[in-house]
Amino acid sequence: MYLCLFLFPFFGFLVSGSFGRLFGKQGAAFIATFCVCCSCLCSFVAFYEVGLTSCPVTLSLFPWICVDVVESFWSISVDSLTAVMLVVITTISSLVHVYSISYIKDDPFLARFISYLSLFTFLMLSLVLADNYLQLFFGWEGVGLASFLLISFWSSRLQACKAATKAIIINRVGDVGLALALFCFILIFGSVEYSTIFSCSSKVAFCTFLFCQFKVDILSCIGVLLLIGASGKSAQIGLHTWLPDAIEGPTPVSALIHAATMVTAGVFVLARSSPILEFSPVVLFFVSLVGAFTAFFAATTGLVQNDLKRVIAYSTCSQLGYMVFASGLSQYALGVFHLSNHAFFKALLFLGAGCIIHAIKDEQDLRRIGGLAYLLPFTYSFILVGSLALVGFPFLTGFYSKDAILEFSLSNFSVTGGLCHWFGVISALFTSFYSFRLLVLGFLGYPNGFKSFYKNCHEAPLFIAVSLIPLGLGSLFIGFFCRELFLGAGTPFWANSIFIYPVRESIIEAECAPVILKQIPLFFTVMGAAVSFSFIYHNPIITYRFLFFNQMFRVFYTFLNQRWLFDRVYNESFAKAFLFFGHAISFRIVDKGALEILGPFGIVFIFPGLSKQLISLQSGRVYHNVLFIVYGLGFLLCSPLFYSSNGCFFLISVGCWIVFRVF
Amino acid sequence: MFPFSVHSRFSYFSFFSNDLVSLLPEIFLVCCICLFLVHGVVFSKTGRILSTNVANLSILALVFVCILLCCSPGGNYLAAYSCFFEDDFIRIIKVFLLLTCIFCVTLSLFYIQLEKSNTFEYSVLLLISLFGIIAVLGANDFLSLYLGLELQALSFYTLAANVRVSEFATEAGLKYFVIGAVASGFYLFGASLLYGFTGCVRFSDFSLLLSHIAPAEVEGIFLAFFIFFSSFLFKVGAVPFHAWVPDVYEGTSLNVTAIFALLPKLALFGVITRLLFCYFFSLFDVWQFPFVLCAVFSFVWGSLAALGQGRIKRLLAYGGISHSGYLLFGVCSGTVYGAQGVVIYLLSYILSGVTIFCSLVGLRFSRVRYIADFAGLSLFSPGVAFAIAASLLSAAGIPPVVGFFGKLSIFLSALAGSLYVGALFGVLCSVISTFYYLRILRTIFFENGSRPLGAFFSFFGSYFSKELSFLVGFCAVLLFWIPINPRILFFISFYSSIGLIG
Repeated sequence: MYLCLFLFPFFGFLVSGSFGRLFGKQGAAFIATFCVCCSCLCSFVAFYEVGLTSCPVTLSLFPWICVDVVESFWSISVDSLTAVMLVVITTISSLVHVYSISYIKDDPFLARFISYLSLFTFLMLSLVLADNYLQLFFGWEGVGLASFLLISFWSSRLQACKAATKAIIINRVGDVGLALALFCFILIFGSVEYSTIFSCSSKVAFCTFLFCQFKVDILSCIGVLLLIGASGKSAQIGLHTWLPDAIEGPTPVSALIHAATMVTAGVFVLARSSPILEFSPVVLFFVSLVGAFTAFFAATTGLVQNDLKRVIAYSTCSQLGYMVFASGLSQYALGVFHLSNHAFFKALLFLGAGCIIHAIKDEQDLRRIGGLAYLLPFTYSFILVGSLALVGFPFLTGFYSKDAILEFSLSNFSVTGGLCHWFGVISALFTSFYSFRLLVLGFLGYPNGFKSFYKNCHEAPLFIAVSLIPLGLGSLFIGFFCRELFLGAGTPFWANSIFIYPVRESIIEAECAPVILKQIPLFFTVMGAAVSFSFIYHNPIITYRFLFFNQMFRVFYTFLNQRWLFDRVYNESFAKAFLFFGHAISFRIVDKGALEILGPFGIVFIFPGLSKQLISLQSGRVYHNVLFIVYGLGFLLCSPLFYSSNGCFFLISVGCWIVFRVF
Repeated sequence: MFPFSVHSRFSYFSFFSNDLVSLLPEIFLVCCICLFLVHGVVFSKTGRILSTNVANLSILALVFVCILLCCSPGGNYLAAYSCFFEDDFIRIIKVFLLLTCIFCVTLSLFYIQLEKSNTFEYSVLLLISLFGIIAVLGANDFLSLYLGLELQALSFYTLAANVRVSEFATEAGLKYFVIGAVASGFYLFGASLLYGFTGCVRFSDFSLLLSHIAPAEVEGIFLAFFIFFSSFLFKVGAVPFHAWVPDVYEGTSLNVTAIFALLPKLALFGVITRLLFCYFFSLFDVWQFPFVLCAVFSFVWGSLAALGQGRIKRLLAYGGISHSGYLLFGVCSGTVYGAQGVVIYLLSYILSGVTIFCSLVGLRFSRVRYIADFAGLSLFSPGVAFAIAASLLSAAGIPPVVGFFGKLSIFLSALAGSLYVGALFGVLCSVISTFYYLRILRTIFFENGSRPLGAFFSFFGSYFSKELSFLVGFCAVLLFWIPINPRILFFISFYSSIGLIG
C-alpha cells in the first residue's frame, strides 16, 4: 500500500505525460486524477495506521548512492509528521487535479499540465517520505523543477516565463543552503540518514569544527544552512520575491504548489530537523526572527496590492512566516498544524479566486471587479469561508492554529517570544484588513468591471464546484476536530517524529495564560475587519482623498505597493551586476573569447598547419631518412647526459649553439 | 683439449630428446618451407600456375604449426644450446603471430588472384619471414636474434619489391633495403659493443650481470644499449627512426603493406617487452626517459602527420607510427600492467588491422586510393562500410570497440608508472587520431557526391572471395564481441604478462 501511495502519482505522470495522446487529453487527465485519488485514499489509510494507531513504517526500497560510509536508500518512511503531510499533499493534489480538468479544459496541452501536476505530487511525496536527507534533497529539487514547469506552463506569456525563471533562480539560493547542510551532514556524521543524524545530534551539540581556520559551532552552522534552504522554499523574507510573482502560473498551480504544499516544504524540513535545531538556541532565535519579520512584512505588503491573486500570495507568505516562527519557538507541532490548516483554506481561496477569474474573463485586478456576490453566490460563500478561516474567525480552522501560535509566543517568556507575539498580532490585524478588503472590493462593493464581464459571468462548473466543497468543509471543521489530536496537552500523536527540548515545552503556560491576553488577536482581527469595512466599503472617497492629499501617507503607500522595494534593490544591485558579469566577462571574454580561440578555432588553425610542416619533413629521400636516423641516435646517446648536471649544462650549451647558428 | 667433452656429448644427445620436442613447430615450419620451395620449383616448369596451390598449402602448414604450438608441453625452457627460449608469453604471441599470418596469406591469396601476379614465391617468402620472426621472438642471444632479424628483413625486402613491374614497389624495396642495412649495422655495432663491455652474448647473463653492478660503472653499456636498441625502434617505426614507414607502406602492394603493418609489430613488441622487462630491467632508470620521449614523439608525430594525409595507405602508415608510440609508451611504464596493456593493445591492433586491410583488398578492384574515394561506400556495400567503421573506431579507441581497452590499459599502466605528462599527450593525440579516423567514416557514410557516376559502379565490381568476406566479418564481429565479454582478452593478456615475469 505504501508503495502504491508513492508510485501511483508517478504512474499517472508517465501515462499522461508519455501516452497522453493515446487517451485524448480528457482521458489522460482522468487517468492521472484517478491515480492521485488512489494515492489519496492510501494516504488516509496511512494516516490511520501511522498517526492514529501509532505504527510508524519504514521501507527501504533499493540502494541509491553508497559511497564509502555514506549510504542512502530509496525509501518510504512514514511517521506522524509524514502522515500529516501525506494527507495534506494528496488531498489537495487530487482536488486540484479534479479542478484542473475543468479549469484547463480548453487548453490543448491539458495532458501535459496534468502530468506535470502528477509529477509534482510524486516528487513532493518523495520529499516527505524520505528517510534520509539525500532523497529529501532529490524531492526538494524535483518540486522546484515541477514548479518551474508549471509556472511557465503558458510559456507564450512573457510574464509567466519571467516568473518561472525568477522562481527557479531564487530557489537555487535556498537549494545551495540545503546542499551545504547535506555536505555538513556527510562531513560530520558520515551519514545522510535521519536516524543516524538525529540520534547523534545531541553528542555534537555545542561542538565546533574548523572551517577556514574559524571555529564554527556544528549544529548552528547546519541549522543556519537549513534555515537558508527553508527560506528559499518557504519564501521567507529575503528570498520571498519569487512567490508573489509565481501567481503568473495557472491558478490550480498556485493553489497546489504556491499555497498548500511546496512552499510548506521549508516548514516541513524545519520540523523534520527539530533534533538539530533544538540544540542550537542561536538558530532558533534566527528562525523565529525571520518568521516574524516575514509575517509582518508580507501582511503589510498585502494591504495594498491590487491583484486578486497577489493579495492571496502575500497572505500565503505571511502565514508561512507564522509557521516558521512557531518552529523557531520550538512549537513544531503547531507549525505543522497551521501548515495543514492553512493548506485547506489557502487552497480554497486560490481555487475560489480561480473561479472568479474563470467567471469574468481572466480579470484579476481588484479595482476592476466588484459586486460579484450577487452573481457568484457559490464562489462568494466559499471565499468568505476561506477568508474567515484565514483571519482566525472563532471556531473556524484558522482560529485554532493561528491563535494558538500567538498564545504560545505570548507564553514563551523571552524577547523573541514577545517580539513574535506582537509582530504576529499586528500581522493578524493586517490579515484581517486585506482579507476583508478583498471581499469588499471583489464581492460587495460597487461593480467596476466592464459590462461584458458581467453579461457572460457564470457560476463555477461541476468539477470546479466539486473540488471546492471538501476544501470548504475542511476550512470549517479541520481545526476543531484536530486541535486536541495535534496540540492537546500530552498528545501521543507526534511520538518520536518531533523532538522538543524539554525546557522549551510551554504547553502549560500557553493553556494558563490570562484570557484577556488570549483575546488580543481576536480584538485586532475584528478591528481590522471594521477598518476595512469602514474605509473601503462605506467611505472609499475619504480613503482616496487621504491617499492623494496626504504626502506622508502616499509615500508609505508607494513603499508598500512596491513591496518594500525588495525587487528593485535586487534588480539594481545583484541582477545587473550578475548580468554584466555573465555577458561581458563569462560569455564574451571567457566563452566566446579565450575558450573559442584555445578551443575550436585554435585547433582548426593550428593542427593542419603543424601537420603540413611535419609532412614537408618527409621528403622520401633516403639520405634525409638516414639523417633522421642519425639525429635520433644522437639524441638517444645523449639522453643519459640528462642525469648529470654537467651533462645537462653541456646539452644546453650545445642547444644554444645550434639555435644561434640556425637563426 | 679433447674436442668432445662428456658434457657436450650429453647436450648433443639431448638435442634430439628435448630440443626436438620443444622446437618441433619451428622444425616443422622449416621442413614445410623447403618442401614448398622444391614443390614450386619442380612444378613451375610444367607451366601450371602455382600461386593458389602453394598459398593453400602454406595455410595448411600454418594451421599445423599452430596446432603443434598449442600442443607443446608448456613451461619455460631453453633449447638448442640456450639459443632459444620459450615461455608462456612467447608462446601466446607466437600463436597470435601464426593466426595473423594465416589471415595475411588468405588476404594475399585473394589479392594475387585479383592482380594475376602468379608468383608462388610470395607465400614461401612469407613463410620464411615468419620463421625469422618466430626465431626473433624466441631468441636468447645476440646471434640468434640477429639471424632471425636478418632472415625476416631479407625476405621482407624481397616481398616489398614483389611486384617486379611496378617502379613504386621497386623503389620501396630498395629504400627499405638501404635503411634496413643501416639498422642492421646499428644492431651489430651495439651488440658487439655490449659484448665488448661485458663479455656476454646471452640475454639471461645480462640480467644477472646488470643486477650486480652499479649504474655508474656501466656508462659504456648505456651507449651500446641505445645503439643496439635503436635498431628495434627502427623496425617498429618509432619516431626518430620512422621515416621509412610511409614510403615503404605506400610503395608496396596492398597485401605486402598488410604484412608489414601486422606481423613485425606483434613480434617486435614481444621482443622489446621481453628484453626490457626481463633482461635490461636493471637499466630501467636509464631507458625509461628516452623511450618515453620516443613514444611521445611517435604518437604526436604520427597523429599530426596523419591529419594531413589524403591517401589511405599513408594515413594508415602514420597511424601505425602513432600505434607504435602507444605500445612503446605501455612498455615504458615498467609495470606488469604495462606488459598486459601492450598485449591487449597488440591484439586489438591486429584485429582492426586485419579488418581494414581485408576490406581495402576487397575494394582493390574499385581503385580506392584516396580517402575521398570512399564516398558512397555505405550505400553500395553496407557490410564493408560497417567493417571499416568497426576497425577505424577500434583504432581510434572509441569505447564500444575493443581498441578502447587497449588504449585504456596503456594509459592506466602509464598512470600507474607515474607518466602523467606523457599520458596527457597520449590522450590528446588520441583525440586527434579520432578526428582523422572519424573523417574517413564521414566520407563513407555521409558523402556521396564527389565521385563520377562510373566510379560508383566500380563498387558493384568489388567482390569479396568467400574466405575474405568470412575474415572481414569474423574480425569485425570480434571487434564488437570482445568488449561484450572481455574476460577472455584480459585473461590471455594477464596470463601472458605473468608468464613474462615468472
